[in-house]
Amino acid sequence: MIGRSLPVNILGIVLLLGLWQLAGQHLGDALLATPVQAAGALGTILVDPAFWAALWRMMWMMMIGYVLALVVGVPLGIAMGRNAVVNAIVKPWAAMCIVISAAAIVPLFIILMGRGLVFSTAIVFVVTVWYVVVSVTEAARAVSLRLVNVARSFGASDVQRFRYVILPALHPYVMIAARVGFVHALRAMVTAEMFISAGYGGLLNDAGLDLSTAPLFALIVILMVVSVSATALMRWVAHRAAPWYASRTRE
Amino acid sequence: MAHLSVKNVSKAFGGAPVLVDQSLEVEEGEFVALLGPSGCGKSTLLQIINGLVPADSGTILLDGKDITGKTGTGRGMVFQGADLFPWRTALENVAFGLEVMGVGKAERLEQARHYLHLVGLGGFEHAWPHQLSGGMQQRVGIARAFCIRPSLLLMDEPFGALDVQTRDILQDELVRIWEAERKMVLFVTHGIEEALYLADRILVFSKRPAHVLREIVVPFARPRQESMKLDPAFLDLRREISDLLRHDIHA
Repeated sequence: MIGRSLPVNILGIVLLLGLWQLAGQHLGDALLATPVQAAGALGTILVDPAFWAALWRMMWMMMIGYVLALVVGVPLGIAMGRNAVVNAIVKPWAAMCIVISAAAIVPLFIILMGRGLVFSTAIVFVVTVWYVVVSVTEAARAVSLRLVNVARSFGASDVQRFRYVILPALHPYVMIAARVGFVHALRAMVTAEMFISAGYGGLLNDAGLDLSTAPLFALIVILMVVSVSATALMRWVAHRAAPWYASRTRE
Repeated sequence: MAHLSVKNVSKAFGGAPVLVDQSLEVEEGEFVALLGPSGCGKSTLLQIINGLVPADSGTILLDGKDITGKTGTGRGMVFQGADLFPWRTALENVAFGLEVMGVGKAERLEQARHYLHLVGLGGFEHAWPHQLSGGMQQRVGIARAFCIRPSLLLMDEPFGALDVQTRDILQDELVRIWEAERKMVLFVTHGIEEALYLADRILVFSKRPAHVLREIVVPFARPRQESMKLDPAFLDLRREISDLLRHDIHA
């Protein structure tokens, strides 16, 4: 399957790059830099120490908010999926808060928290945690009652049913929530940094004011590479950790 | 002396009586089939004995101990759809009951390996359930129930979801395993031939609310052979039970 789709994937990318190149040559680099110009800008950016400092700042601040969102969101989601009272209390808030985009709350959070680590971490947390909560809740609710009953019939206690049935059943879905949550977190972090003109978002801001659009495209491509590599890494980890799920979904 | 005693069990779902004042006894090493039309309440009786469903009234005594409303202790259950844990290999599924009981890893895996071989699945220790056919999954389900060395084996239409050829093979396997390791069995089925072929005694249940229409002691010697299904005495009994059930349905 992968062997067959890879050439088609490459063909699709080459076609799009070709179109982009043609359009860029027609419009000029102030409006739309060509892929060749963007590649040139990419080379310049990658040797600039300021770029690496900005990327580092973005990543470590984002990771704190993201990890916090998982640490809070996964247990809360499980509790909501398995307990009607917790669900009734939290569900309305989750349903409302999940639509909040980072851009909508950034001004408020700047007033409340300034422009430092607390601000960035809080933005990432608020945008990511509800997504994690809602997806883990759905997964926890869908755990097979029949399998829980199998464990009961073998005399498993509440704790044992949680450990031997509910946790392993949730595992692959938690990994998926973590993967998609990472993308949400990254997007929120970039938005926050663009508002305060710091870190990677600051670089994007500056590039947007440049006469050429080539550096902007280069920065966006780097962001894509970061996101795609991180999710690929997490997918690999998930397959290692839950081989039964990987083996079942491959077919 | 192993002994099961079910006394005056009644159960209603939402005001509709499913079981009214049902009692039954099973002696050590006895294979008893509960035969009746689908939905008559025989599965409910089995689940009450297993402890998964609470009875409205009545008591269950196993080896003299009151186990009413409790799961575990001395009972191994085989479910209709096998209901294996998809995140456990065949071997780990078989070892599940021992793990719940707190048996150490080396010990429980050794026991599980023994029972997996016994059901003819040597070499499939590390297979995932989804990689096994329906018949193989149910073999694992049988091994899982045997592995805790229960004094009472509960089987809820275990071959109901299998094709006829696979069912015939598994019936023979069950007879072979059980004859090597005799324990009390309660086997729920709506197959007359299956009940006659496997059981020492058959309790024929009416339509809902279920009560025992007749108790039939199966006169055929063990070990049972496939050829006995064509024996005139076998066919006579089969017709007799069939008439009995048909009259009840139309009564």
